[in-house]
Amino acid sequence: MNKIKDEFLSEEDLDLRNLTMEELIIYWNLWLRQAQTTNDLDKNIYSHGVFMSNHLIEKN
Amino acid sequence: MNNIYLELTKEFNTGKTRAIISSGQAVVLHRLAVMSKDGDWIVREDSEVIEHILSVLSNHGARYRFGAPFNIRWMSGGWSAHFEFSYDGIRVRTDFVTRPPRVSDSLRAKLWQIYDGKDTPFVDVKTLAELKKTNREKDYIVIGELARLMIDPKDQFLYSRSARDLIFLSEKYPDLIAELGNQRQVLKKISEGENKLEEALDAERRDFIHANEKRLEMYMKAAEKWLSLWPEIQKEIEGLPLLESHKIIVKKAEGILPFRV
Repeated sequence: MNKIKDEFLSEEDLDLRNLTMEELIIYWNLWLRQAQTTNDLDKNIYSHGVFMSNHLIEKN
Repeated sequence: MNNIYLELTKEFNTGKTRAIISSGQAVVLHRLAVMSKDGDWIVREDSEVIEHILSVLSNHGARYRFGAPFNIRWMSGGWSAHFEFSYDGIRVRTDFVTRPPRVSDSLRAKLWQIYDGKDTPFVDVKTLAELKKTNREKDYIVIGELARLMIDPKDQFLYSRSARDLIFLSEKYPDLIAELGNQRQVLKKISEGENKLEEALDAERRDFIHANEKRLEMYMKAAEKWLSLWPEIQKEIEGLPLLESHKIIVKKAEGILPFRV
């Protein structure tokens, strides 16, 4: 029996390793397209850089 | 078939390596997970580089989001510049830094040597793990997986987020704990067993989170005046081509947004 391992990401996430570059791009683009549904929710949010928190933006 | 972030990176790097894909999109290229909508690049700190990237963004119809002007005087102070445009129904956000957090000057210089001549470079697992020491819990999950991609056991010791992995490593390379213990205090807890080690890993993660929060708070405080002027500036630049609005933003930020924090 295999020993239990600490899990970080799901098998589905890690399965990206088995995709060809073309398949990865198709999946990536599809993910980006689906993620557009949350654009209104994160319009004031910063994912990177020094403005990551949105609380200052919301003041305006 | 291509992806907008790869296309943009190629355009940024036409004729010379100017920008390295970082953060979320680098996680995708390391085949770990797709978990970020936005693109983030480390940019060479050079006026020609910034002008070229601005011109690429301008061709895509990008506009400034609130942030620092994309200009060396601010970028060399660790600020970030942010843009947005639409591409085939996708909101594309592009974020730039020249001085990424937790990356030393010498490592930054080395990155430009390593990636020189590459048109779609993305940061290596170790640099990415440093960049991911943010104030978001989900980034520590990514670091945990990145550590498993590292080849050198020393790097695995320094970045692993799994108590079980660390115990396994310590059994395989017992001498490395003494060597690396001063670089990472958590390693000193390996001998105390899994539970104590897990507690130490949790505490370490919270320390990283608080350190990044503190860093961001300093920038946000320094940007308060700039932020208060932003709605007015936004009205002034609305509808203008990016290169024109860039000039206005640089002029307006002078004396308002400090170069250094």
